Amino acid sequence: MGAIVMDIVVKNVCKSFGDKKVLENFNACFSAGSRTCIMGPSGCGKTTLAHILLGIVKPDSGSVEGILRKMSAVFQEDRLSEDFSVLSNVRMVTEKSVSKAEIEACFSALGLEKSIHLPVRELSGGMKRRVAIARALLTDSDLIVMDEPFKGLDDTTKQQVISYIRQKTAGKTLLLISHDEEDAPAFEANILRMESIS
Amino acid sequence: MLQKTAAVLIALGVWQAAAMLLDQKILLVSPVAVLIRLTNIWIEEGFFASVWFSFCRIVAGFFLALAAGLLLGIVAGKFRKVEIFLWPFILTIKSVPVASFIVLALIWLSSAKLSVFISFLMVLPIIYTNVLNGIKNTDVRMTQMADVFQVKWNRRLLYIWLPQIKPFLLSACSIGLGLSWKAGIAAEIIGIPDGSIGEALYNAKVYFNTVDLFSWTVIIVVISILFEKLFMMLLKQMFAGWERL
Repeated sequence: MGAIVMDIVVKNVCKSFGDKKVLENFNACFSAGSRTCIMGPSGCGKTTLAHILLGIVKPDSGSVEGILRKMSAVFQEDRLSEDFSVLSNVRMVTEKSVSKAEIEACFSALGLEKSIHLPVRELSGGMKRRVAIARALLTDSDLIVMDEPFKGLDDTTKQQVISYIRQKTAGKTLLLISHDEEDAPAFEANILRMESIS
Repeated sequence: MLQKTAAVLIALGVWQAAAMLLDQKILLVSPVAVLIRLTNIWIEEGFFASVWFSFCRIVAGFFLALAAGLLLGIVAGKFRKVEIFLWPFILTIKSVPVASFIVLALIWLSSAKLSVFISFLMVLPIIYTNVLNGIKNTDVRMTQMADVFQVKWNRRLLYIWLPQIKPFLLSACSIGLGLSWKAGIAAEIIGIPDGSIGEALYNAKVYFNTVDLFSWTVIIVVISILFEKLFMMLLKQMFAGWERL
């Protein structure tokens, strides 16, 4: 029997870093299986919210309910092991049940098929980004958080990647942090606008 | 390379000139005399047995320290309480003069095992400290990534911790190998186990055989450097092999 996937409810979350308040009584609800595009100016707390949902950062007060056990992410930075190959970086996080054919199909869809055995340090910025996306998509997860995943991708590649992400994340809860107004309609996603705390 | 060769030749020239000026074979033999002695020392009975005796024990001490230092360094890096618990032991080993340990170890152990123990003791804190620093310097962002993806500990070791400790471990091994030979031979000179390089050096000192003293020293340096080069090459290849996985 599969795990029950619940809505994620963020209640009155506050978070400060030193004197700087980043989130103050923040509330939001992310329905199970929905796609949400989180938008807002730099420094408004989008990444902090993502980190709280991923369990990396603890809120000072407030709560997050319904958080899912199986999560994957594309972080703001690539967070790849530079000395290892593209394949090893994916193998690091995926279950053994994920077949090589499945991994190769993902790489092919993301235009990485020729780079599979290359060390990550030899890849361009855009390629590293796609490896990070591949890693998140190939992991068995109910919640996927993507923090500016299209940084460094040209328009053609971006459309190709969006189409593949949509296909692979169907039925999963997807949170996409972006500055691009076109991303929400491209994902048919709800929009959550965040404001900076003055 | 050319400049280094020239520097070595100049150093040998200075040594030869000093030996000729002093003209006291007991105080300083010439490099030529050492070279001549090296051409026939290896055919003497027991030469290879002595080299093998010391090599096996010193290298065994090094490998034991490498294994223990890696294990303790990783555990201490992950658990602060273990680091605190080990702190007085490591500090003591670092601070106490090697001669004190040698004399103390002679009471506990046979002289044949002395160089294993002393090499181990001198190398352990170097490996431990470097591995600990490597673990402490692990990129926190990679650890967070591993937490989010629920990466198992063995994969964390292979893909996150080992790459982080690699430069620290390579440096520690390079320093540790040289030190293991210095400490191991010093232990043998004090313990004088039969059929060791230390015994040969001790005899050379007792009989004022300075040419043998210099020749055995050259042999120790050559073996130490050759083994270090070989070991470091294999270690780098092993890391490269992991990275290609």
